Amino acid sequence: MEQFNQNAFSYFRQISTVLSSMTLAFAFLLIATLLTMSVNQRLGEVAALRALGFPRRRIAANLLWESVLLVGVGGLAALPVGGLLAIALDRILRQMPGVPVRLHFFVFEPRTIVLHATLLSVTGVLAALYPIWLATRLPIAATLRREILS
Amino acid sequence: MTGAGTPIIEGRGLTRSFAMPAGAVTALGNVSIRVDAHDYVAITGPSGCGKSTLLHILGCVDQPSAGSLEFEGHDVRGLTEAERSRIRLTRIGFVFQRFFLLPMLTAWENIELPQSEAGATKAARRARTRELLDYVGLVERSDHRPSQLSGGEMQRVAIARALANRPALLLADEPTGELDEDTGAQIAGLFDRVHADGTAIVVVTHNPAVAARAGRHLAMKSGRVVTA
Repeated sequence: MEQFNQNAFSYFRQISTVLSSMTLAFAFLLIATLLTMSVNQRLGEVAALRALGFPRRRIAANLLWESVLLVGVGGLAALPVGGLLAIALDRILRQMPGVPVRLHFFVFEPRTIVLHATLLSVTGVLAALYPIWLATRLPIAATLRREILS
Repeated sequence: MTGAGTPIIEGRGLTRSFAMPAGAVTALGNVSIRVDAHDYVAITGPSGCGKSTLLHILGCVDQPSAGSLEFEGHDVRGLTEAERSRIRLTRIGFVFQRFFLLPMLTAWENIELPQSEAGATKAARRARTRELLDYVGLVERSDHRPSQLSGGEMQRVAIARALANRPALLLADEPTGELDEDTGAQIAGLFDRVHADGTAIVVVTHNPAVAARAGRHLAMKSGRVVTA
């Protein structure tokens, strides 16, 4: 079992890290794209709110909140789905020849939840940066004019 | 162009140019305007003559390329963006052609939002929102979202939202532009009432019936005021 741990597990961990990083990168791109599309569809509203006197920090806070909500709901939904997926994958992997009976590929550790929450929070904030920049820097008058003409 | 009373906003030699690939385009050229408390000013003219540009400058959402602008005695050009935002929030109300209500909020919440941003207490917000819904005749529609309201009703909510923080000046850009004649007349009637209740109004319009209700009429052409 010790020998299996050292050889196969290091390989398994590396693949797992690569897959996790890719998933995180996709999550970042997805949230950034969704928020950017959402802002682009609401440029008139944002310009109107700015014209009504809502400061840039309010617009930024609202978008950040949207991002946190998106990440939070997604992150919470991912926990049970990820748990079930881990159980299913563990069963499949344990059927490989030569795997010790008592060995598990996926073991729940509380620190994983903390890591999950931290990575998602950082992803959510980073993904919101461009849409926030877009919304807070838009020229109010030009945007209102464009929205009326469109 | 000088009315009686205290000036709310006064612009002198207002010019606005936009850089274009083919060269600078002057949307507004050397326009001077003074709006006093209780004034009701209509700005008319063909499309592209600079009406909305002038309105945006008066509303502190755009900066003139040249000229001076004072709002209640303060030089607007010397203010920070945050200070201009505060003026817009508390002293100026905006009504847009396309209403721009937040679609996920009810009529009540749309009217309450600027008060909340201005720091009004919950009790004050509740009282003011109820008062405004009654003022625009939409008490029974308070929990309806914009998608459940007609164009005229949406514009009435937008007017109530613009009045939420008791502004000194109400600016309206083609407020009847998306409405039929009868509904437009109702909105114009509401503006009369707002003006009678002591708020200065500047309205940009193509609608002669709306312009006729104003106490002063500025006609614009090619970025300049041709008659006042």
